[in-house]
Parts: sequence; structure tokens; C-alpha cells
Amino acid sequence: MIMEYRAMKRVRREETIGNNRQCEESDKKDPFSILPMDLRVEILLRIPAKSRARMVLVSKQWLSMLCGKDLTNLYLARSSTRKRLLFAVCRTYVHEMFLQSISQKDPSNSEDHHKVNIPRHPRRLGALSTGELIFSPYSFTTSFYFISYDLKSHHAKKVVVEEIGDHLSEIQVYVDHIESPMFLPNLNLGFRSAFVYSNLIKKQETLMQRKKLMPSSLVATGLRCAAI
Amino acid sequence: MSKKNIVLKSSNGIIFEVEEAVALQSETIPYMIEDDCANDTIPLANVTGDILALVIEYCKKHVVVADGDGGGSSSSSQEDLKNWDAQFMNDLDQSKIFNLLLAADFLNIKTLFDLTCQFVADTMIKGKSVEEVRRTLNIEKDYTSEEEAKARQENEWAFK
Repeated sequence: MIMEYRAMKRVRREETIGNNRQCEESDKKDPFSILPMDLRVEILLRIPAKSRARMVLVSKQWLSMLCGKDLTNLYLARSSTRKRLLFAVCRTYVHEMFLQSISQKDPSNSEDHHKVNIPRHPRRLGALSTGELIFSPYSFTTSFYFISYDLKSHHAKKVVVEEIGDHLSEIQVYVDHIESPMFLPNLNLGFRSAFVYSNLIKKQETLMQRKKLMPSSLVATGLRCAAI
Repeated sequence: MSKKNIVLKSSNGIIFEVEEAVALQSETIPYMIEDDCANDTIPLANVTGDILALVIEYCKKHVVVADGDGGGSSSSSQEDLKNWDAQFMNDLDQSKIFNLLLAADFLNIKTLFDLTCQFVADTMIKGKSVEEVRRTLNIEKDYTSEEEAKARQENEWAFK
């Protein structure tokens, strides 16, 4: 174990030397880029969620750092120790709902209360391994959407999923399918398509669109695909 | 107990002699001693003298003094240390800060590493506009206006 650690440190040392040299040359240019990726991630982790979301606009490299797996994984690993309480408050007649997230450790600290409004009156579908709660509307509106509430950064995101069915469609959602909510619209045309929304890469992907294609990942996760 | 001194040598050949307890806040240095790569002097090939001086200044301030009465107690109160840290970081320019971060990482001094990361996050990024961050860190905008508008829309909540 110790040997491993030392070997690791040694590699890092060499990396740093290389970076140091670069640092003097391009000091004026972009001081942030002299840092190895893991250090940049360490810094970006320490920014509040809202600033972090804004910073995707700084450059494409920042976008990939901020949405990348390194940062996401480290963030989740560290924040899973900070447990919070979540209340969902619905006002039935107004079709409004809000979520209130409160620190478990110190519930009286009102500065650490986060309230997030959610449009309409969704049903809760489940939680993702990444720590987000997924809500979707009861009835199918013109376009299907779901709401992903991130317990850790206290914000809700409405994701509209386009081109998957119309008001006649039923949608089954399987939460936490390969880190993503999954949608299986059931069109009345004997034609099915399956979509996976990846919350890590923030986009939807078509898994299949024809009748008899059954991707192995669906089988592997035990989804009911018999009707296809 | 006699105090043992450790000699550190920066990349540009500047020698610093410090008490063992000061140097041992670095988790890298014990390995270097053990590695036998240093009989008397520990060469730090990627830390320059000015940065090493800062690291030592920090470590001297943060050294835990082992008193005769058994328990180790910090040489200063927590509050004093915090103020000192803030002042210490505030006096540095940007290039020094980044090099200090690299040094803290290489020398594996956890508290200095955290302090520097947090300082960069708080003073250069947190609460700033995208343009301000680009300016502060000299980052070129590589988004087209269309791409920028799209990304802004996707993260709309963060701009309110």
C-alpha cells in the first residue's frame, strides 16, 4: 500500500515539473491552465453550485471540466456525507409545488435552507444514484418533460424531451437506468422507441426506434421489453 | 528532546534550514528522507526559492507545538490562524498563488492545499460574471455567439 502511494507520488512529481516549466512560459496567457487537471477540478469543486453552473460559459474546456465525470464523481463522493432533509409541499388547487431542502445536521440554520419551486403537480418517480430526484407530470402535455431536482446543489431542472410521442402516448419511466432516467413511449401505432436521457452528458439518446431491436442493456437491467 | 533540523533546497539552489516539526507538515518530505535521496539536504526540484519561502512561512505559523504537558497545542488560537491565513493569501499575486498551490500539492500539505484552492475559488471565480472570470484568468472565449446563447439557456437558472 505504501509502495503504491509512493509510486503514485513520484509520477505526480514528474507531471508537476513539466507543468512548472510551462507555467513560466505561459504565465501571462492562462494561469489556470498551468494547473494539472486534478487541481483545477479541486478548485471548481469549491465553488457554490450556482457559480459553477454559470461558469460553463467561460470556455469549452471549462464546460467539459464542470460537466465531466471527474468533478461529478468527486462532488458526489464528498457531498454524500452531508445529509439533508427534503420536504415537498404541494398546493393542490394552484398546481404549484415546492421542495424545501434543509441540512440534517443543523436544521435551524435558515441560511442553509433551499427552496425550489417546481411547476405544476408532478409525481415523484425516484432517485438517481447521482443524487437527483426525478419528477414527471401526471398527464402528458404537448411535450414530455421531467424535473430533476439535485439535492446537493439545490436546484431543479426542467428537461423537455422532444419528439417522443404525443398526447396519446404513455410513457413509462425507469429511474436509474445506467445513471439515467429512461423513457419508453408507448405509441398506439405498434411502434415503440426507447430513449435514454443521460443526466451526465445532459442529452437524450435514441436507444432504438424499430420494432425488433432490443439493445442488450435493456435486458441486462431487467426492463420489461416483452411487448416490443 | 533536542530539536532536529532539516535542510531543504529549492530548485534554484536556495537552502532553507527548518525544524523537523515544520518540515513534517509536508507528507512528501518523510518519504524523501526515507528514500535516502537526502542525507543532509532534501532537494525540491520543482519548487522555486520564493515559493518555498512562502511554504515555510506558512508551516512555521501552523506548526503544532508539543508542550511539556503532553497534549499538542497549536501555537496560535484558531481565530488568529484564520486571520493570518487570510492576510497571507491576500498579499500574494496570482502567479504566486498558483505556484503555491502546485507546491502544496507536490509537498502534500493538506491544510495549505485546501487554503489555496479555496482562496482561488472564492476570489477569482465565486460570484463573478463569466466575463470577469475570463478576464481574471486570461481565458479566451471560444464559444460562438450561438453556442453561448444555447449554453446560457440550458443553465438559465444560474444567471438569475
